Amino acid sequence: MIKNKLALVVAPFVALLSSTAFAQEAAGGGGANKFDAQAMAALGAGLAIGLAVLGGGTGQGRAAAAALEGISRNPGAAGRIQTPMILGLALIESLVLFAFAIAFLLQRNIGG
Amino acid sequence: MPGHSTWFTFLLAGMRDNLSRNAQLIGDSIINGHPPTWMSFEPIVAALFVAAVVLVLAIVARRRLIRLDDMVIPDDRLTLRTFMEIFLGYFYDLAKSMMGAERAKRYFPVIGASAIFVFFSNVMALLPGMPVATSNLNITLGCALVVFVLFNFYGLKVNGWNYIKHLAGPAWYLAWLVLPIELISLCVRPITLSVRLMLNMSVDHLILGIFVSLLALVIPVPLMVLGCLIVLIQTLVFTLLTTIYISLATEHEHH
Repeated sequence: MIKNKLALVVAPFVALLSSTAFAQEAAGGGGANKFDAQAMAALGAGLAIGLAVLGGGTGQGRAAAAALEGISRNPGAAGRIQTPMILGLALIESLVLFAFAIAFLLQRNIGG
Repeated sequence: MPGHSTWFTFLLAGMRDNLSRNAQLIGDSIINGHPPTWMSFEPIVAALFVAAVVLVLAIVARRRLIRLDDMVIPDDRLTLRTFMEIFLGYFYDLAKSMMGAERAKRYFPVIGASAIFVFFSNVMALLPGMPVATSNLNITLGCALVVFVLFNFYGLKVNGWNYIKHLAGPAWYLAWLVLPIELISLCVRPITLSVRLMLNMSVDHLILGIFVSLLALVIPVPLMVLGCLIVLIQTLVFTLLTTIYISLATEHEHH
């Protein structure tokens, strides 16, 4: 009995969602133009910088965590641990900046 | 990366006709396809200005250093001589710990020159209205290409044919696989050096511009602190990578 009630509640949502799929098929046949390319460029720029910062933040967090653990184990070696940590952080950040450059170059084409 | 007018634009505007004609003669740029304008010469003028400033400071510091009878005793406060000692001494200690004292002394000119040029160029980004020489790919590519040519030259001079044989890897039957990978990673080094420095400086300038356009009073202060950090860190990264490349290229095989 409960299973039938769940299906009764979910069924209208399924019907509404499937109608949107039909709508997309009808509108997509207009032919590609430069606004489509600009829309894709905008989407690509946003995704590029978002994913890059995701990976870069994770990598930098792990590098800093390893450095902090090393310092906590051996406080006297803090100076010798700090320099390679800064170097590692800067190298990881340079990869994020490469993705930012791509996003910037994509974003320049929007708004024609 | 967008550029804007700085104090040096007034200097360039006096020579505007000649610069426009020369810019048209250069042709299209490789990356954009746009021809350079008379304002494109600004980073070159900024880099020459930084080089002139560094030369004057170096001559003054050296004259003060020689004139002292007992140069072993440092001054009390932060003068030009003690600033140069701290700054270059840090990189010299770094080079000595990596390469040994004798090699560090022989190869320090290019390491110290890259450290000072990149540092003074980056510091000009913190002054409002001054052009940033290292936020242009032309300037940083010039620095990176000088480092690339020099560390290859030092490697070939010290090791000779062993330098290229070392790139082929440990075993002769793997050389067909290892040598292209090593060559590609060798040739990517100047590209990453230059692009990393250019992107860091121009993105920092861009973000500072955005936040200053929000509210020019209090909000830019943490970004200026971040800017100071980025200036120092990028100098450190450029010089450290130069030192590492030179020490890798010139280390002797017979241990």
